[in-house]
Amino acid sequence: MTSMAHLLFPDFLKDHGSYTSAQRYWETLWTEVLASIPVEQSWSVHWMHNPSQTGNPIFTAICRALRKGVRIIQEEPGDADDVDLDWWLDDFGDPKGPDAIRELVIACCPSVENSSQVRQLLGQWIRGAELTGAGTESHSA
Amino acid sequence: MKGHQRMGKKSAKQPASNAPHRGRVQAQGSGTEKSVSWDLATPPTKSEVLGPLDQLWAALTRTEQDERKDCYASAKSYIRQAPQVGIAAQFAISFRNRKQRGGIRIDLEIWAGEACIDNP
Repeated sequence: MTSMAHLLFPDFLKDHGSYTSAQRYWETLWTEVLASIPVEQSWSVHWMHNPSQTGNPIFTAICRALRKGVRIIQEEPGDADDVDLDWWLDDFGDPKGPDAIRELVIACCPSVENSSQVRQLLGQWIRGAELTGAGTESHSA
Repeated sequence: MKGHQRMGKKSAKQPASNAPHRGRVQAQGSGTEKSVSWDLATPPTKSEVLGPLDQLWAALTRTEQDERKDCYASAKSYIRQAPQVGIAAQFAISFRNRKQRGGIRIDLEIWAGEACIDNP
């Protein structure tokens, strides 16, 4: 993580109001990205049910028609040598079943600096474009 | 490295199960793709999810374990502290190694039904 990063909601796990603000941040960011892209299929949000305010995940979205999902994990500020903003692709659900969802997972401490990269990843994922930047693609074992 | 084990009636080569309570734990990232899934008629208890997690851990190489030591501890702690009534689908939580890029992690995924209910 960059020590100079301007972190957003760094106390989100300690303060309920901050957690709510962080949730709104992700919802707004998602809405803005989605609105900027012409899409034929509809997406819905909050398809996963996190029983506790851990930020893991803090935001989810799904397009059932395309069997694609998005999961955002918000993390507390870590050590100076932590990797901020990691992402990967994964399958949620039995890949042999009709309900398996291919999901883009992004884990980060949101900041002014990484906002554009998150937007870029989400936009690429919605458009079905190749995802750029360091990350990884996982397949079900 | 790839590998999959399944708890329940079906083998890994059979089609998707209709069991009401389904999910898995998996280790992913840095070339590792190993998982243990469950498909059960009743919601697995905390112990019945910790079991697959331990199975998964045992299937990892020493290097894979070293990269996920904290992930494993966090996953165990999370399962033990789950609500009494368990966690309902759909739900996924990832415990990643924040020191390395590439999604090096252990995941808990609840695909259908519930999991991690209190032990009787």
